[in-house]
Amino acid sequence: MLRSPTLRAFFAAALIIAPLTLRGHDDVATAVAALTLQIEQAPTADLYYKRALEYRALRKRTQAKADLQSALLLDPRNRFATIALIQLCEPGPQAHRLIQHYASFAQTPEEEFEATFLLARYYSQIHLAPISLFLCQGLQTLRLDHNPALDLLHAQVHLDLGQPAKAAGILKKAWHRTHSIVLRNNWIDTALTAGLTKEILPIIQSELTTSRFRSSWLIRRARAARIHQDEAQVNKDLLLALTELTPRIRPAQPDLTLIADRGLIYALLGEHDLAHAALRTLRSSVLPPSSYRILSHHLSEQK
Amino acid sequence: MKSLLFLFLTNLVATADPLPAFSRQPYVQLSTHDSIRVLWRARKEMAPRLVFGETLAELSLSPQSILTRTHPSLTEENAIYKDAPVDTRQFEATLTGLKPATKYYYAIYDGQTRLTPADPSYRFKTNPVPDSEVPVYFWVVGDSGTGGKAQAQVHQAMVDHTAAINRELDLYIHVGDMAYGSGTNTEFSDRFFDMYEPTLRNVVCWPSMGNHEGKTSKGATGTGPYYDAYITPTQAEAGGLPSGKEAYYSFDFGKVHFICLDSHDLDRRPTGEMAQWLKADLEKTKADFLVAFFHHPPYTKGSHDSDTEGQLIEMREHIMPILESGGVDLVFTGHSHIYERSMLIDGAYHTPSIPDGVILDDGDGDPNGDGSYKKSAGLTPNNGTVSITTGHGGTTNRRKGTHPLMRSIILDNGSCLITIEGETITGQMLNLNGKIVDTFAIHKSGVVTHTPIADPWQPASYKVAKKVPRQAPPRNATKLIAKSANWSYLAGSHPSGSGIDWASPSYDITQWKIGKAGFGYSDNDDTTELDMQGKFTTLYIRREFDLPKNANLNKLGLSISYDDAFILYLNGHEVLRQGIDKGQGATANGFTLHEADGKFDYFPLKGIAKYLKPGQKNILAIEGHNANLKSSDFTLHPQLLLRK
Repeated sequence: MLRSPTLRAFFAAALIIAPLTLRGHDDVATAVAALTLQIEQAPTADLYYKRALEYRALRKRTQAKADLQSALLLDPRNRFATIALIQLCEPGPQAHRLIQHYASFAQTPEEEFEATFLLARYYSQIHLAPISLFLCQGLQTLRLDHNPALDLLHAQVHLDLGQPAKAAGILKKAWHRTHSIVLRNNWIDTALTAGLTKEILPIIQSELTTSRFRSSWLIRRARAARIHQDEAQVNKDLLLALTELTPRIRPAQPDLTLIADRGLIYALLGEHDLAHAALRTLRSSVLPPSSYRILSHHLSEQK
Repeated sequence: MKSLLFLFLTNLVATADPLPAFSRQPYVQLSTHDSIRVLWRARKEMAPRLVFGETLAELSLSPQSILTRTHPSLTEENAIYKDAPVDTRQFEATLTGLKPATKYYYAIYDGQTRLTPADPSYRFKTNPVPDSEVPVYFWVVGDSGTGGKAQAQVHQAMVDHTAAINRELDLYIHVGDMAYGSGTNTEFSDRFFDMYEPTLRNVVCWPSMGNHEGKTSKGATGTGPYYDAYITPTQAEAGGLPSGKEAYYSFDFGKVHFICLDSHDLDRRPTGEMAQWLKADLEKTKADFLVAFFHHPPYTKGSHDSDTEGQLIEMREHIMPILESGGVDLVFTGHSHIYERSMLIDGAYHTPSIPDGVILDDGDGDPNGDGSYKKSAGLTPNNGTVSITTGHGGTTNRRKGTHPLMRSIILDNGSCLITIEGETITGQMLNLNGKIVDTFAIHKSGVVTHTPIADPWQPASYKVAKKVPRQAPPRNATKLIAKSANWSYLAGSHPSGSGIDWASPSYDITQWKIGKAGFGYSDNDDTTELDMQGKFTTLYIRREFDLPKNANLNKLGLSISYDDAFILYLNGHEVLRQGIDKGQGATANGFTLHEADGKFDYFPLKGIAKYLKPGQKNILAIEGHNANLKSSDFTLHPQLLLRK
């Protein structure tokens, strides 16, 4: 029997709480209420951070940001709260300040890498591509992880600077390193933007013979054909792609990635009104502009 | 204090006798048609050796390699996560050059000392050659990781069921939250590996990450206890396209293509890396069936609400369109602690979810009920999906409301067993008592064109019961109708006549059966057992009672143990209803769930004097209702009391 009343109280509390923790995650509102009670009694950075995550789950950004700021007041070097707050901030002075703050206490190589990556992404978002490029190049030399996110950002910055061939080179190298199909497909698309077809055409041909849905590969082959000024092939492939794509698009609730594909077909076919309609749909959607970059690029070229 | 301690200790139930040499017992991972991995952990240095063969008596083959991973304080390369004890060794044997669809047995040694017994359960079966015509039988579990009794019962129910039908699992899918509360090394060992050990030694578990594992493991970097525990395909080792990440992947088993997504901590937008990979993977596959699984459900009103929570909304709005335009058949998720199985749906991406224009077949999908759902052969875009929230694998279930796309909603611990054979997918929900409480099938043949149903069937509305304190029956009372009394009852049909004729004194009940209260099934509190589950939801009972001439009618009350709802009539007049909003008999609706829990609730009866005949025979009649045809239990056990 425990003699200390305090220990006895702790023991009893543990016996009650332990089985409750095994129930798993309560519904979000209940979790918020429980955390609020605990915060009222004894606030800690961890409690504010946990409640911020619940608010974030409920899409209550203002409350989530307020809690993360409270967490940082109590524990200014709380890595998780800092990163979560950076993610919630729009690109701007506050995000910049927070990234610099994170960099000031990042200790491990992983943390330093992460802080620098966030800064590179920030500069890309505010259209300071040269600074972002400088940071990406530095991070590539560190090679602390093989996260394709860095390769994709690095390539994106080159594209922003009008250097698609360099972007393609980065993605190709990254694909060879990771075998990630996302990197390979981004390399193919970027190589086409750069007018490079030699290495990618065999892959496109292979995918056309082995894929169930061929529309995205038909579009890529059409882009390659346009580089080689084979307009008959361009039209043939694009019409085939359109035939396959149209039944896959639900008019009311479409898969937006297919809207982007169809918009590109229209742009390549010279159907400007239809292509612009697709672009308007995409611009009003949740998709970031990088996801319909090729479509935007073609339409601006055609102007 | 003793009772609290008992409560705490009985919440943790061990399920298998562990072999002492291992700190994590041997288990299999990443099976392909010609290779597999076998993993185990020990808390000491070891000369790891594994032998295997096609018969238990001849284990003459050796793995291609055995990788030893240690704590980061001991090594920089291939270290396990830092929260494991410093002396932990994780061994990962890679077995290659295997025959497809072939059973092998294995044994693990430390040098010359055999650590695993000569037991045929230490075996594995390689996958069939991709695209081959073979049936697939798999188990799906979610939100199980409590290490508690319900989790153990759900597992045991599956083991008993598969033994009873003499069928072995081909694979096991876990939709996340397998190691509460933070997916630590210890929680993984205690609440996942120890709990499922007899299954994990011979069936590959293909995981998806839950939010609890996400507290210690990170999808972007593939680090943490979750990523130590599992080896998932990053290079399309088992089919599909290489994702380059362990967090999301695909694999093939025969004609079925499986896709795992990370709904927790990666970009869920349609152009994020994961969605880009998903789109490419769907374009490539030529399978006949498509099964996707991830943690956060696109449709739920269980312990979570898919209309208000960000991750759930994003999976519905961003990922479901890609899956459905790729022709997905089944979507398994967890997170919400409930079993919810949808009708055949397509295009349900609105927030909040609405049933208009998205339900292609509003039947129950049961081959023995409304009939199987129908789809075209092969993978056809937007041809119908069945979405299943299976977050009921071991923790306490909860319900917030009724999701309008659901055909089956069950608040009961359990798991799903799925068979894909020939042209048909058959899904069953097996509860922790070993009962199949939901069945559906999808038959894929020819060309099927669906038009969304204009006015689809809708599940009954649901209200969360207000937590009012139970009023206990008075101790000092005359029992006008005692516990366990005989009653006339009608089960399996509604009474003839109109409205509430059946409750009036003149109604002819000579054809009704006689049974002793309580009535019901499954919760061990019933004397007259009824075969109701899946067949009917309403029970009618009535009985005469003598009312003393000088009785104080203000002191009359009903003591009743009930699950879920009832309406009480005195001499043909309704005097009390509990848990039913409107209607009566066949038209009753708007149910509130209620568990009997072996207890009696007391309801004083007010304003009833005008209906009663003191000094004469009176009729008490009750209609008892189960809120759900597939509910796990039902109870109706009344007493009529006159307080002294």
